[in-house]
Amino acid sequence: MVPIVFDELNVFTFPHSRMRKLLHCCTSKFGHTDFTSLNDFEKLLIRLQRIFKEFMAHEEIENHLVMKKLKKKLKQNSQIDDSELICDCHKVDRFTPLMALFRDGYAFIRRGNADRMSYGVKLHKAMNNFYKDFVPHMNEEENDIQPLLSKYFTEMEIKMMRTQVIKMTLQKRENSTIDIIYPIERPLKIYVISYEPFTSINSLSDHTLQYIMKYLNDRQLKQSCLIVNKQWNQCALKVLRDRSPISQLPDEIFLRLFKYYLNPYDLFNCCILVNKKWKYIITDKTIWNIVNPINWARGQWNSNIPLEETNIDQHHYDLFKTNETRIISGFVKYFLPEYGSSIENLILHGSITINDNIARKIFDSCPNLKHLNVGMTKLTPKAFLHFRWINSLESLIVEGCELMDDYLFINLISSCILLEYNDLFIIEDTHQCLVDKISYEKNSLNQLSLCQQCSHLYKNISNKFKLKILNLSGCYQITDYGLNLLINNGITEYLTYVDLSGCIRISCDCLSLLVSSSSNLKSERIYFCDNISLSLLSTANCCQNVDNNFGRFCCRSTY
Amino acid sequence: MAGHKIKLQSNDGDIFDVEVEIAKLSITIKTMLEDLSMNEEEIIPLPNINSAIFKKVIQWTTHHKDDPPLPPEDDENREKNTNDISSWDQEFLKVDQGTLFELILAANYLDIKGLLDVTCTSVANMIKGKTSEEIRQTFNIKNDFTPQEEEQIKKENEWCENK
Repeated sequence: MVPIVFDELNVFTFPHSRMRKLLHCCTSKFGHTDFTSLNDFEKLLIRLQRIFKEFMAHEEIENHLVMKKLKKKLKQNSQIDDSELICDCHKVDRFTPLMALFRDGYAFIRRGNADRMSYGVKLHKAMNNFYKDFVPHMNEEENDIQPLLSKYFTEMEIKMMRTQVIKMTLQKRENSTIDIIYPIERPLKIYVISYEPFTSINSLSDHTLQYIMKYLNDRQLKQSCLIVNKQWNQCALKVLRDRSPISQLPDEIFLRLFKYYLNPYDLFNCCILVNKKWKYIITDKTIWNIVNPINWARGQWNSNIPLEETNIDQHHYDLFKTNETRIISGFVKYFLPEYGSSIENLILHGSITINDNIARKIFDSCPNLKHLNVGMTKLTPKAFLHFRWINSLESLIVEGCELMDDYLFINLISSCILLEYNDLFIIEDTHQCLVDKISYEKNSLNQLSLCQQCSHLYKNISNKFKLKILNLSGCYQITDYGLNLLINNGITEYLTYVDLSGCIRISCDCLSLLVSSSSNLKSERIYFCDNISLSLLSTANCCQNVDNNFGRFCCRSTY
Repeated sequence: MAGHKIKLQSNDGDIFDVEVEIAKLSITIKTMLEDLSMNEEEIIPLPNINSAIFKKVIQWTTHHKDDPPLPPEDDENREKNTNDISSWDQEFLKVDQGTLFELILAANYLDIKGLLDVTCTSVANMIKGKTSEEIRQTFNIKNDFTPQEEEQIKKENEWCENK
């Protein structure tokens, strides 16, 4: 790139440096044009046409502002030798055939590749000829005409002529080629250099500045243009926004979209792959507060509310089973390691494939678990061996798990004690600790209790528990022993909701003990089997399973 | 007081006379009016909203002024929002992406839940059912993953593909 020589008395240098640049663009463009690509081809034609319009305008300006005046001057002085030179110089019409050739080119857009290639060759030749002709022409003007000008005009006149030429050249450029010249040259730099002497960059209009910035890439805009000044900042922002309007949305709006308006299926199948920003926002923990992978396996991606399905035929059952196996294995392998710590509310309600081992694996990956719903599953108390998050658990729903018995409570309490003990016990999955052995024995009073060794520990555990909601509906194997274990260890203190519908082995006494030990438990929030009559609980809601049992055990139903 | 109006000024200087009842659909303006007990004649500036967008917002709130208030957001049991967009809203939202996103920003700033809801739903609908490449094209987003990273993410998430 040739910087402009600020030569006050040379009329030709300014427009010529521009023309040389354009010439260079034309020829370099050729090398980059793939004539087999329609897009490239059409772009090239449009560019060439515009560039040549500027050439033509340039010649016209020279004719009008320089040659005419010079001729007039020469006629006055009747210098025949010199006037011949001028006639030669500007009489040749270089442009009409070229412009015709460009116009013809459009007809080739719809032709085959071979045709376009041969047109390309033709075009190339024509351009080469033009190049060979035009460069010497410019040199001639600079070397021969310029001295004539100096000879016949005063310095003041030349200066004025020069200013006029530059003014006209810039005007033409602004009007006809503004949208084409910038993508060809590396825009900003050249724009600044070629304008500097005449137009300060500070006086560029917003519109022009935005126009130039359109051709810079995101990185250039963000790293430099944004911090130049206020005008540049706003223009760059506008350009960035227009480029990708969605980029103006702040993360909080994206989060909102992902959390409330798109489901995990949308997120994992496409959104996460869009770009790094989207992926990052998807890992936000608030999206994954509540998860229900069982619904996902049923194709219910939009809702976390467990599905209650009664009559599932064999075909659907098999389908559910395969889907669930696939989803749960992916859930354990890929989802939990990444998002497990976000989960506060885990719903595995109605799973037909999850067994105790998988359940424990899942529980282990959710350190912030507060609400757990494993209702209507085939889980046994073993799923709660070494349940690590017992201290933060607020609700536990095991409704309809018919395999649950009193060991559920033993396991929960021993989990709590084990937590206190030390981590070594917890890591061992074989569960062979001292506490375990002893606690599984029933004592002479035929009541379950924890061992003497641990008594000092379990005295403290009550204030560790935060359990508020306990749903044992339909767990008919649970007896007074289990419930007493909870009561005696003070675990029921925070309870606000208890559902014992269908727990036919729970006695009246035990229930009243539960009510008296749980200060926060209001009688309207207790549900129990209607084999119990308790005047104390006249306002309670009785059994929930009678009318709408969905397969949960009830003493009155024909189950 | 029906028909009572307040003056609101957009960030490019235009002043709008808006009925109080309509303006109060914006919780932000409502709070401003109540907490600051602003003078009737006082002009409330809205520095984050330009005139074109504010006109759209007024158009929307005027049409929806008698809608019942939306229930508060409930994280526990909330289903994903898949509400259909009413035909009036669909017509209203036939705008270019830039305007749509500015409407979201305005609704967010002014705290107009209904408008935020309908605009977000509209964007979600533009995303749903598309491949990641189609999403990038729709919103003109640049893919900044390397092919290896992309492959890895695909592998990690293929478990939830519908089969």
